[in-house]
Amino acid sequence: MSQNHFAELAQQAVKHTLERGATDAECTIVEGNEFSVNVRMREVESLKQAGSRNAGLRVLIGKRAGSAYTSDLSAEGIERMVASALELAAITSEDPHAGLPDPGELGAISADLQLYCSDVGRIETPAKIDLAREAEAAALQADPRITNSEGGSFDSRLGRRVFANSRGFVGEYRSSYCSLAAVPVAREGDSMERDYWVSMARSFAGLARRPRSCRSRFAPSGRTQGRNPACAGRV
Amino acid sequence: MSFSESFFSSRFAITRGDLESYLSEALCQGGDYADLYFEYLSTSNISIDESIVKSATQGVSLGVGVRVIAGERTGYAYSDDLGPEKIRQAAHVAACIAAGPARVEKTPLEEGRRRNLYPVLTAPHETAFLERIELVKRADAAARAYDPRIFQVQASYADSLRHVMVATSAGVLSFDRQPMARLGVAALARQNGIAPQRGYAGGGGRVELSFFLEEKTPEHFAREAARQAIVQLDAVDAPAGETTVVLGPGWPGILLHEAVGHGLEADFNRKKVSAFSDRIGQQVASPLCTVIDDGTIRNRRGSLNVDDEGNPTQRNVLIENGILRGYLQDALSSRILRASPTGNGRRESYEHIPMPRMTNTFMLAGESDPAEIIRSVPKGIYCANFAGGQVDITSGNFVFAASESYLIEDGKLTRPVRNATLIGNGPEALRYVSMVGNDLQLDEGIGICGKEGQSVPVGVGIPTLKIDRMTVGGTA
Repeated sequence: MSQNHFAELAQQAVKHTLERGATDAECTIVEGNEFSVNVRMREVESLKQAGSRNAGLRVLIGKRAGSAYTSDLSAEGIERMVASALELAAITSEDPHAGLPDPGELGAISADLQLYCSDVGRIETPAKIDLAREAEAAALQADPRITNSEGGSFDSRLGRRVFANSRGFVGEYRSSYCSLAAVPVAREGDSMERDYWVSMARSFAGLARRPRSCRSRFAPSGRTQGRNPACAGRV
Repeated sequence: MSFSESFFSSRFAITRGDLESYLSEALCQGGDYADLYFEYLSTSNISIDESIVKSATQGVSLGVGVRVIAGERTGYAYSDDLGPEKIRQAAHVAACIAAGPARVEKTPLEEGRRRNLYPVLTAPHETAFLERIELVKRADAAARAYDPRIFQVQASYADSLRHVMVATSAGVLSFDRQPMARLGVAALARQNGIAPQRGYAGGGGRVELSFFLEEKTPEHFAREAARQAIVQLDAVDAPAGETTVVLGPGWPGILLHEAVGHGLEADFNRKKVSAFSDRIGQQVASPLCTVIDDGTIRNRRGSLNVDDEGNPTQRNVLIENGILRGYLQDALSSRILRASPTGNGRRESYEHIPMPRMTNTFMLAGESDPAEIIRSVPKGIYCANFAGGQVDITSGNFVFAASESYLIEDGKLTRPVRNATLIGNGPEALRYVSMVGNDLQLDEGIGICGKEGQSVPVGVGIPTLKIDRMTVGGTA
């Protein structure tokens, strides 16, 4: 889909929301493509590739706010999102601090922050698999006590975020991300330890291909918590 | 309800023929197994802060995930569009993992026997929003009324209704309607000269809205959160070193979930990266310990009629009288280990590859009177509540933050202790369990378990437990 399409869609949703009685509205549309491959004990273990889009809307009726989101960007889906957000803005409390920035506060940064690098999108799948394979192989060869592995992996993500509000702002930016990681497991006698090496960058060129320094990072394999659901929208 | 009346069939006009054709497409390059996971998720969130209902959100996401397994390899793709072309495209991408002629014999889709562990006629998500907003307002008022030292309250209510359908090349066709709701309250207390202290309580499950009106009211959670915050005002720093730890019943079962549960997930064991690998039949806990994972408890947060691979959940004995009996299986691991699936294949959403996960994990009650357990400890720590914890399943090392704990001195609970951390090792910690209470409790329905970036709702529980040796890391 063209970039103009999303900007238009977001502006239309905002316009439509105002027509339905909102004082202010802001709409975000996000599009993303993800790829990930994991190679374990030198064999491809998993490969995932997909794209998705969704829209979110925040509505103000005076000092009351309501929000809604949808993964259905059809006219019908957007209409349902608008109605949902308006329904909520009618029944939340007045919040003296609620509101959108003044038009004078809005604007764009002229510099390129280099959040997006096109080289990430140009790497072919076989090359990504080879990188993951090399990362794991390097870890497996590092020491005879490295006898097992949770694999080497390559992940990449390309995204685009479009934002429009009722104060006249419309803008968008693209983003890219890629990472290369290895998770070796060492064994000596009965004791086993794992550790991680990972490089993350916004450009493929910026990715470290081999450990420059082997800083360890504690990334627990399992974690449970009883508060603050990490994942908004999921209960 | 038959397939033709099911959500995806009636709303999106998906037929059995469609499902079979997508599965064939997924297996066109070969492979041993394929499945489709359709999900339609509606959610609502309401939160109150500074006594103002500042935000409320509702939304919908839908999509389908297509998976192909070839040997130990998994190919995965998904689409947020249920149009036939998009699903075929996803199937095609997932198929890339396999190479060679199709090897799977066509198995006609057959609906499994249906049951309903959460017979919720009207899901909370389907009720009037005003009724649900009332819950957070009541929680806010009750927490503030509990004690004048409570100066800030945040309450949040969230619910969801998820429709899922799973079709597999092994012929499984299942669908489910999964309601969920939870209410949580956080309260901050202050007193001159003492840093503000926080208390938190919450709960819910696969229940009707009446659960919050009749069984566990907003006032119940609010008072509990406020009580915890007030208790902490008088707390002293935790002592550091090895000591006797008594865990209170219910939510402290999170220790069981981390210390033992994750290490028993079959994916880690099949790859031999778990501290519990190759230890089936061995003594891994004191003979007083029997640990169960049960996805079939009515209305519980961790329960499911069928797991996210279409297999019925069940009651699985993980540790029996201290002996390791079994692992938590998903479709892939059970194929490789030639074990039966245990109904533990779960995923966060259609965008995620399923993995073996826990459901409701708990230890069976023992014979000791909880009061007797505390009386038996000359010096130690009693942990009534935890904020959270984590484990490295390879070394087995875990760490927990206790949000409410007390010193035990001469068999009595004396002073509250602030933010004690417990440190231990999974395969060792339960060997030191010397007393098990007769008071098994499950938590109130608040747990979220994260693994490899995927969050799923779970339940935990234990009776009062005495652990003779554990490291307390002092105040965090």
